[in-house]
Amino acid sequence: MEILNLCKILFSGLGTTLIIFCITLFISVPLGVVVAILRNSKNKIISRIIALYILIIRGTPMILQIIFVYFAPYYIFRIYIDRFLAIIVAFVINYTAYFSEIFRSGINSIPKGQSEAACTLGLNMFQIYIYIILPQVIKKVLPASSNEVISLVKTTSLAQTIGIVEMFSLAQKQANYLFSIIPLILAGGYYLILVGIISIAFNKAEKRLRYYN
Amino acid sequence: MKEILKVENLCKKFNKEIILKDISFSLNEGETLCIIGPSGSGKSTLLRCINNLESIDNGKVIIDNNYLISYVKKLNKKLAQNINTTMVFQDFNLFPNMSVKENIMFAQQKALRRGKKEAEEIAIKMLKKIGLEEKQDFYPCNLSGGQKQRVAIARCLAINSKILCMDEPTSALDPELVGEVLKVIKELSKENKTMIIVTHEIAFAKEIADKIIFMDNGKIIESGKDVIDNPKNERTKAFLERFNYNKEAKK
Repeated sequence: MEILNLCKILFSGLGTTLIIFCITLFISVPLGVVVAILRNSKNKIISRIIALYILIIRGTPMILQIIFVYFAPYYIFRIYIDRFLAIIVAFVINYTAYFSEIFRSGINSIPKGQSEAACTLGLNMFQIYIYIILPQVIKKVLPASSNEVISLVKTTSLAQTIGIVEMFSLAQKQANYLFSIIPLILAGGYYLILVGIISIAFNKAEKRLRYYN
Repeated sequence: MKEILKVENLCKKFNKEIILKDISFSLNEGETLCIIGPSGSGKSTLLRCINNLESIDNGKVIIDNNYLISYVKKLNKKLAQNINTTMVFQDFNLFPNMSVKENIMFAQQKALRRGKKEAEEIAIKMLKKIGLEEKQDFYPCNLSGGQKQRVAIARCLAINSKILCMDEPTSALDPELVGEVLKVIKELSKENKTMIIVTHEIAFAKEIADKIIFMDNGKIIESGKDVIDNPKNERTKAFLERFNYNKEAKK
């Protein structure tokens, strides 16, 4: 009975975990594609700015980025921003950088000849990206992006650093309160279930795209 | 006969290395031009310049009297989207995520804005022409090299550009598959399709060409109809002799 009750308590935090996960994913994936294309840009100023952004984001701990996004507006402009907004912004900035590098490797792996052929057939760059390059990129980057997506599920637990109540923070609280390891084990179980679902979804997507090479 | 292509004093450099020096020639409508020459002589670069896949450093390319590519510092991608010329590549460059039929329909629908039905009819017509009608729903990965190249040719034919360029269309194929591609090209030549073909198949060039250009070191050494039978320049002779020698050695 005690365990069932714990499950319910943790479940109430699962919503926040999932919302952070979903919003981050839906913004940072398309944004990652755009950043990847900009990183490849022939304009050196643009590509260098993007390179610097990726270096900074990948080169600093995420916990620092979260705290920075939340507190910097206060120290600089003396304004508070909403915790939830801050966490979404921090996650999007972070995951866009990682996704963009995965997508860039995918885009660069498509032979240049295909866009040249499409160009001589009268297609413009937009059509070439949408109909020829990106569909192939999706297939190529699925395995690598599943890593990122899985890590995102687990990284949502960092939201508690700026006081957001999500599943893992509830688990820790219960563990302290009950002086027991069981809440943490249950939290681990929830993460496992989520990651299991994601893995199955990725496997299915890979199978569906197996109709060409 | 109507002049369809005129290249005037075309020059091309990569960094400081000169690839094409002062190339000038013209081509009439319905003619087949074959460009031969050793590797690295600039044949493919010339073709890419005509197709606007490379910027040029000097000179002009005039297609059908009104279209003009002249010196531009940076390659203008929009220019490459003109459909005065289409190009068949050595390594096919089919779109792997589309079926054979979709490959042929795609540019018709998106670039020429043909309706789906019309594009499909034309695609099937072209597939009949190259003898691959039964493969229309296959994906490129399930075709042999020769079949891929024939589809690439059909894809260009569906666009019906003024000039069809081919950059060593048989170089990436195994010897057994070369024949089927050459057969298709031969038929096109008979139908008076205007073509520029860069090739190492000397015998084939001799058979179908209305005009042959021999290039070496970025320059046109010799051009005309009987360059192969009756070479005048020493360099041409040396190149063709080596070819004949190889042919005899094979026997």
